[in-house]
Amino acid sequence: MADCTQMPQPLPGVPTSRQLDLLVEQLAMLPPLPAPFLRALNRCWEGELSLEDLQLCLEADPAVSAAMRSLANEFIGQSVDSDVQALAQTPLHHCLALLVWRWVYAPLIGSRVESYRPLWRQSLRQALLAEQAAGELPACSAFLASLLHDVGRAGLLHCLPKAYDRLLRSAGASSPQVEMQLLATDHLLLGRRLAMHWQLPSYIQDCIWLHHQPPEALPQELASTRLIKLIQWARFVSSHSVAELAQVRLQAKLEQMSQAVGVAPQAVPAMLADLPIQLSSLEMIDLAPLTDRPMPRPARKGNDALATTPAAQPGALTALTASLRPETSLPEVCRGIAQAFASTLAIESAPADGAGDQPCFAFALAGSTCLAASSGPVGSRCVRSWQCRTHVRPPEQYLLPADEVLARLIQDQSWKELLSGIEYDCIPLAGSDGRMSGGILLPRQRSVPRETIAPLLDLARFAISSCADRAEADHLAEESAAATRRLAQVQQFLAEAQALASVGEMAAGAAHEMNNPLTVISGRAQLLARRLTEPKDRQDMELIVRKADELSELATQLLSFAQPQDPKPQVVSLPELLTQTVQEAANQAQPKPRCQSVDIDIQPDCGRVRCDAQQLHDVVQELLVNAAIASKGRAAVQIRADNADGAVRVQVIDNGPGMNSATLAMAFVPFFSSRPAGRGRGLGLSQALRKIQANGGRMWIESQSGAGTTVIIELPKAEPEDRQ
Amino acid sequence: MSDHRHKTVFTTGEAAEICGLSQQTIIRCFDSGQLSGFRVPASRFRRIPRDKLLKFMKEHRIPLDALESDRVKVLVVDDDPDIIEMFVDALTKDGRFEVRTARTGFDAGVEANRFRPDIMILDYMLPDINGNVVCKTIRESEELQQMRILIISGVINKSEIDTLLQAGADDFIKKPFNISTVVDRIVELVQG
Repeated sequence: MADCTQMPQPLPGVPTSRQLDLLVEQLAMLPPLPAPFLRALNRCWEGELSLEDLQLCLEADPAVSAAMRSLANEFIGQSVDSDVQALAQTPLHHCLALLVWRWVYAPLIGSRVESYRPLWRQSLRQALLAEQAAGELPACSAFLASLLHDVGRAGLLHCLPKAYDRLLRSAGASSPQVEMQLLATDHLLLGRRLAMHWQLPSYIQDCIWLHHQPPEALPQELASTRLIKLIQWARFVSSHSVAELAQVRLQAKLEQMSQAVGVAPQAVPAMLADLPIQLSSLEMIDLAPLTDRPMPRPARKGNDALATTPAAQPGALTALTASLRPETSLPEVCRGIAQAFASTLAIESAPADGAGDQPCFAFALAGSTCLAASSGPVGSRCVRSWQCRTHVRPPEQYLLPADEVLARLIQDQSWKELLSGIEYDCIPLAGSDGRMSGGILLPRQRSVPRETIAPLLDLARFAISSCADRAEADHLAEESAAATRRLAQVQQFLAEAQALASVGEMAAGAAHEMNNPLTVISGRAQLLARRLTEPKDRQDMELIVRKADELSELATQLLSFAQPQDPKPQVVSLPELLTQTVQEAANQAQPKPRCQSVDIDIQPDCGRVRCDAQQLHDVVQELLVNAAIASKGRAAVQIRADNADGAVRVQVIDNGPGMNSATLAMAFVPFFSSRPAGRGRGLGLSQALRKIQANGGRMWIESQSGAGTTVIIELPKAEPEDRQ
Repeated sequence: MSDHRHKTVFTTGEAAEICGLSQQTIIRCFDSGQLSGFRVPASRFRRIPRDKLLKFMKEHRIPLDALESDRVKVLVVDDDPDIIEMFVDALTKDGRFEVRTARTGFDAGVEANRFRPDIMILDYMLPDINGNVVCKTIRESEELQQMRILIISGVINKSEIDTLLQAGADDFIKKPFNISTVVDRIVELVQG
């Protein structure tokens, strides 16, 4: 949607995985995965998945069991009475897909099955390919990891149900880079948080957050490296047709990727041919009942009861200790501690009027994030986070007003809504390095002497400190992974720039070296034509002259593509430039295609942009020619200009036949043309993109088969102080 | 004597003047077929192309000075011998031009001083020096101030063309080219 030597698309800013915490707040209360399912996922990787493991999974949830039996009925055409029989009658990947949908996707989806269906279908395609090409890896683990590797996308769709798709559509692409620009986070990091929340096996976690990593950046010692490469291969293969994969540039990539996972590239067409049949078989699974039926109660969080049932302090301590595991996430730790304090204080101190309803809070400082969890009921925004100061020394007092502590930690006043105007006291907690690691917030009426809760306080201090350290290490790991990906992008950008510079040098040399012989060929043919008397002979000579000119023109275009003129930015009046370009296009001599008519709609406040006027003129002219060809000169073409966040957006819209996804993906690739052979060289759009990027702008296309095409250009708006 | 330098077709009176014969003699030779030519459509006026007149003069050993001295002097500078040969063929055949050639920038300077051409057709990329240096050197010479320079090159970088024009070139034509266009441009520049 790439990206190109003139420092084109702004590279994303420093990834702030801490932004994730805002999204994770929404995911913290998703039910945990049932133990039999987690066991089955682990057994898959070990290559020891048995029928009993799957049977236990079906027993854990009547909805799954019913769906499995109904599926088996479809397969054998008669009623199936038991889970064992159902499992025996259906292919293994049907059962695995069913379990993943039920326990991973369904809790995210709510009632919006249709919004998730394209993602599910895409994941199934990739999972089937990965399963077929698994080789020495357990096929079921390849299928599962591939089916789950994009769960972060499902997570983003869950958090931003209305916005995520639209944001990506407006960016004209879907990639971690785009997500990072738009959301300051991406589906890889969110997927990892989900995987940690669900305690998915490490091989699946690795696939979830490392599948966009460049293959050379994957650590060889990582057990799941081959699996990640297999997923990358499946993603690549599933996003192209057999015909596309036969193109020279994709063929080389296919061979390279296939070699890395031990697949013969010749086998790929057969795999793709089988895919629709297998996919339709998997789509026999009826997703609606699996999504609608409530999750079984045992899958709820273990500590829920602590918040409501008063218990003695030893009981609270025991429950907290039992809930703490190495993989327990920071929000869960804070929530467990808050609940333990709430239940303890309910016994130790007699609450004043109404104080019994006020929740306790535990907060932790991980790097520059302050994360607080409430002991209140699930779903009441019980986990919240803020950006905070780092390296804060803890106050020496045991107990002091909460607002005093929070104001020292958090710069803005956003923490105030947490306390809802009620007076709280804070017990600050120090970490092993002497810095403040977190604290407990108690309603003032329920504060108790230190000695009373000393054991609980020690456990809370230890739990928060160690978990915050681990969360910080996780942040660093995530940022390191994102930095590696950015580095790979920069390397790719530099390689492309270098390649273009080489093409430029080659084209300049070729223009000189080719034009001399072409001059002789053309000149001699002209002189010969003068001597010939037969009209046919003269026509033949004229053809030689014409073809020599075409070849020379190609060298010229290649040169101007590889070595574009440096832009001369100036303040340009957009209405003037667009009107003039449209008039020129209308008056130009044939045979260039012309639009029937062009409607220009310019919003009043986006009149001036900063760019090279000639280059923008050339780009708009190119787009008008394309629009005229697309609409066959029979329908009106529209040009719209409006504001877009400090930039000006120009859209050229035609009502032509639109582009399919394959054409859209290749639209900016040099020498790609969807027109019949001999009509255009396929350099127009790629040249236009380079010109816009050279002027600090962006350009992308929105199009669908049968629904016309919109080419969008975004250019920097001229500042009031910019002079003509 | 009239200026016949750029003419490609002559009347019988002009041909008589060039050959130093009477108009009646020219008419007799035309009518007997010794001097080829054509009659103006819808009239009886006779016209004689330059190359036919030249042939007639050579066959009858008439001194060529009157016609030759009228020709435009062109110096073609290019490192490609095939291109030089093509120019020589095209311009000589035309009959209006006297052509000399050079294959390096250095030779171009020497030949320009010796031949004093009306116009130089200059390739931009020469083996020793670039066209803009040749332009500058020529423009610095008082004797060659009137000489026109037409750059012809396969290099199409606009900034380089601007540099050439600033260095003193009169025009630029990109290779490959239409020969008639180049010939017309040569005549225009020399006349202009």
